Amino acid sequence: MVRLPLHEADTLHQLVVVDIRDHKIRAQCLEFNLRQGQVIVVLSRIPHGPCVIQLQGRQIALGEKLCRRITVSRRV
Amino acid sequence: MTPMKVALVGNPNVGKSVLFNRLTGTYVTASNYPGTTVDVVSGWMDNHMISDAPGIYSLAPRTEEHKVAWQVIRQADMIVNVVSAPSLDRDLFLTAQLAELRIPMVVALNMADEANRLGMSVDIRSLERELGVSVIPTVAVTGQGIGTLRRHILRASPSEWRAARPAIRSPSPGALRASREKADDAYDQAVSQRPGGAYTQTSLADLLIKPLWGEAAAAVVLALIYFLMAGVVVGIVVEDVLETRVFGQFYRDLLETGIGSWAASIPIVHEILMGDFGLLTMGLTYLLGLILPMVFAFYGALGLLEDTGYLPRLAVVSDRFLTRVGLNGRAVFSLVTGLGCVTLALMATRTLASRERRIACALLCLAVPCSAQMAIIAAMIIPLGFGYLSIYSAAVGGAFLIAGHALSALIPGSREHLLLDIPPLRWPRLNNLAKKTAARTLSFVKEAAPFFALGSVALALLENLGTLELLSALLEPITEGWLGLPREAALALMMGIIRRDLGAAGLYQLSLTPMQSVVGLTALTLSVPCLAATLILAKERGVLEGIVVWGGALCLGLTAGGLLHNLVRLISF
Repeated sequence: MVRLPLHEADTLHQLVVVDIRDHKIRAQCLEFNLRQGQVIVVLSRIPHGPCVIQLQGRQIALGEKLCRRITVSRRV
Repeated sequence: MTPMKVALVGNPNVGKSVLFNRLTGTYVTASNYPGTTVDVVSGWMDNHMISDAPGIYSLAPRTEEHKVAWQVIRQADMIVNVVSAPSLDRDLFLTAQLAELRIPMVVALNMADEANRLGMSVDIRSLERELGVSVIPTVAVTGQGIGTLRRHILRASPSEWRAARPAIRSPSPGALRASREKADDAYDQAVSQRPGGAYTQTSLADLLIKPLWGEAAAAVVLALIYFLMAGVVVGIVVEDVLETRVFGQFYRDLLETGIGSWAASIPIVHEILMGDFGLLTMGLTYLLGLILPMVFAFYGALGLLEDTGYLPRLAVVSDRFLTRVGLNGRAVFSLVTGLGCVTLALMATRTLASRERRIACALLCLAVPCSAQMAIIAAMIIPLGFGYLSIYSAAVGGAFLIAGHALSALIPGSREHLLLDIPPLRWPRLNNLAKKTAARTLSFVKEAAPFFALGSVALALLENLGTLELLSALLEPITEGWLGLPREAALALMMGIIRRDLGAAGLYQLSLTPMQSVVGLTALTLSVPCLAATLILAKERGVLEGIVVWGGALCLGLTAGGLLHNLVRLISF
């Protein structure tokens, strides 16, 4: 299974969060219920900018550097 | 009897402020973006004091607004935890943490109608069983369920009051995981149908966060606001109706026939009331005839952007730009608020987690002209044509960019990443929009009127005593030498320290060349934090930091204005 940072993921594909590096960011993401194992869809990706993902029917914007620390894989 | 203190606590943008309005009958600003409430607002429901806390995602005290929310929670005898039904999976995380505090609590399951529309089904009994507290479905915007919630709060047993005050502490990673697990269990048990992908809703909502489309939409929104202000408000309301007919003819005649001959018999009274800087001439005409229509129109437009949920989308498209100046997209909320009033923008910097970024954002907020100042800027620059408007915008924007880069390098601190909920686009509720615009405009008049009155009287007296001449001579090296303005402009710059719009009004009074207008307004826009902003700066950032930010803004404005003047002089040679 191909793993890649969130900021490189294609839009509109279902992805699974594999890892979130840095415990502080992990704790912050937990507040939005974004954590390992969650299924997300990238709705928009602004070049050198943030991504907007869809998670459980909600939309969340994540800055580029944050996206670099989130590893995802394509949902099979 | 000591009043019972009830805290409204919940995630950002779940409807706490609307619920507060419903419970207390007191209006507080409610909008469709996370972080509208940054301070505590209290009101009364019978003998219960209800406090609306800033929205938080967890009890971890990360930002200033978290600390403010914690203070409210610590004082509370009872918590009303407001959760948004469509975002229940996220919101129950905070609910689980609040339940651990052992303060009497009730959960208001708000936006229950929206959850139904999304095909979500929540079993209330099951949720109550899992959380161990009462759950009351509400729709705050329509008032549904508010009666039941009110009765529940009033019924709360006095014996339950005054629970042990929890200490402010950061939950450990283990505690956070446990809260998440508890929230998940409750969600799994209570929610039988989950929201699907349909929540992405309209194609417009999609386009606003897409590359290029998002930027194009931002440009269209700015252009619409410009045409509303320039074409409708300045062109028709201010120039045609108020300036020409109401204040130019009707009011002037009324003043002359009413008190003209009486005031003329006492020169000092005539000067104070009807002189060039008079209370009834400059003060009242500028306040009501020029600034008020612009402020009203601006607050209406801002309210529209807030209530539709456009601002978080603007935060997404501007994140890339703001990251370059050391901030992130969230700073848009402070900067846009700054267009309304700088003091509110300075308070909105609380949502930023690091001290360094709060200082940087505060300084940049001071570079944003407030709506009242913008009214006079528009009245001065729009008639000069698009070219001068472009020079002014480029000068202020350029100074903003350079200052942002410099701040980013000088006070690096920890960088924050954008992590922001994007609410659904909604049709604004006209009732809320009208109330919000009226409340903000009224608040502006209440705050500005005494300053305009005092400013007019002080100026009239200073002019009469010859002190204006002395002050102008003292500041001549800056005004004439560096900025290339007439020496009387010193007065406008000093008036700007009292209120920024008063300062701009001072420039409006002078006979300036088009380029002098642009230089003067650039210096004034960037440099002078008004008295209210200065006080808030000292309160929010402390006296020392406040002085640094204040002094920084003054240097930035005078440097930018002076450089612009000298650059134009060089080019014209």
